[in-house]
Amino acid sequence: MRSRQVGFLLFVVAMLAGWWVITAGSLSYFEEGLSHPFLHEKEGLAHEELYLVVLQAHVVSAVWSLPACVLLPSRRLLRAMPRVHRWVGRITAFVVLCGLVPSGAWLSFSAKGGALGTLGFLLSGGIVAFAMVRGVRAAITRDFVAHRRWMLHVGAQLSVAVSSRALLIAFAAFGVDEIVAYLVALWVPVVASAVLAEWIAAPASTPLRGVSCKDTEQVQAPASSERKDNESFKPLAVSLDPAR
Amino acid sequence: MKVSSLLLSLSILLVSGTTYAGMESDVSQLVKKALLKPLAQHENQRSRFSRVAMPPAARQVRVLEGGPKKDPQGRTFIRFAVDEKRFKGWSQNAIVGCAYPDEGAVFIQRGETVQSAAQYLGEEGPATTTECTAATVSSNR
Repeated sequence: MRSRQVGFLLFVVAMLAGWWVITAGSLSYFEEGLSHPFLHEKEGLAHEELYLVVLQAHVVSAVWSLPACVLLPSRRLLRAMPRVHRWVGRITAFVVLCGLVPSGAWLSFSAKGGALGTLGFLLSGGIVAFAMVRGVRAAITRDFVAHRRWMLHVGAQLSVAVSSRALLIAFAAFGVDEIVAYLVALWVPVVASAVLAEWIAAPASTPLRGVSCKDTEQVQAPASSERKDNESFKPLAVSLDPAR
Repeated sequence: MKVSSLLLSLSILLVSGTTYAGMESDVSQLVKKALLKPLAQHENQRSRFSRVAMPPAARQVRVLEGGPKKDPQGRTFIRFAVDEKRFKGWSQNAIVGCAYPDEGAVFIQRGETVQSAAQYLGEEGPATTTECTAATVSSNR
């Protein structure tokens, strides 16, 4: 197993473990309602009940979106069940664009850390929305290299939910000021995830940039010089093979 | 005559001072029992893997100046604040509210509204009417 595959596997396991813990903890938003300490922190909210509803909508959207975006890039899943990939992808795009991003954007205006906190969440949400729209358009035009690249950005930004919380715990253990810790634990994962996603996607997308899968259906065996870079493209071509 | 009246005033002063000090202690104990202990229990059960602020290292009850007051229903209450110790030191007025020592009730001020300690903790609690009205308790959060 290549180191990149091992890295991806570890990332998926960490994200799913984080998702599980966050989901279990998020049940309290439904059980405790307005008496939840997260709302106690937001004292002075103009529309406390609306805030809770939006927060719950955000939680539900995230509970679906994070594992979906972490698992959908799986080549194994794509090879085995391309139809499942397509339908889960469509549902996820809808949930992200109509639920996760709008609710997150609204919540960001009450975020801890003032304007920097708001800006950090808006940046992350903006990347998610932009990348999701581009990714969906790429899938529609059957440009699967670009699709993979944009969806990597979506998954990377959603992973901020886990990495950010892990950083918050680490900062608390070292006694870092709460607001400073909150902002650093937000901005560092947002920027790092965007850079990392672009870095991972770049080698695969560069040689085939502008080449749609319509073209590559005839180019199932890429030129030997490009073969290595295009490995991530293989399952996409495979999934389009009518024999499968 | 002068000495006796002086002694009488002094003893009245001492008694009222002792009573108020005792009341402060009662309020402190009451707030700890009705609010801080259950709050700490809730926090211990809560996942740390969250964007909710980490629990403070310590909390202390401070009875606010002004002494006992009467609400519109004639019941005596005392205003209090809870200070929290976090990384940099103590932050004042993290929670503000009032306690009714005679009835053993604690209420929390949240913005313009007041709720019982039980409601604040997410449990069923008595509906509030005139308890520590906004006019008598101001939040500094």
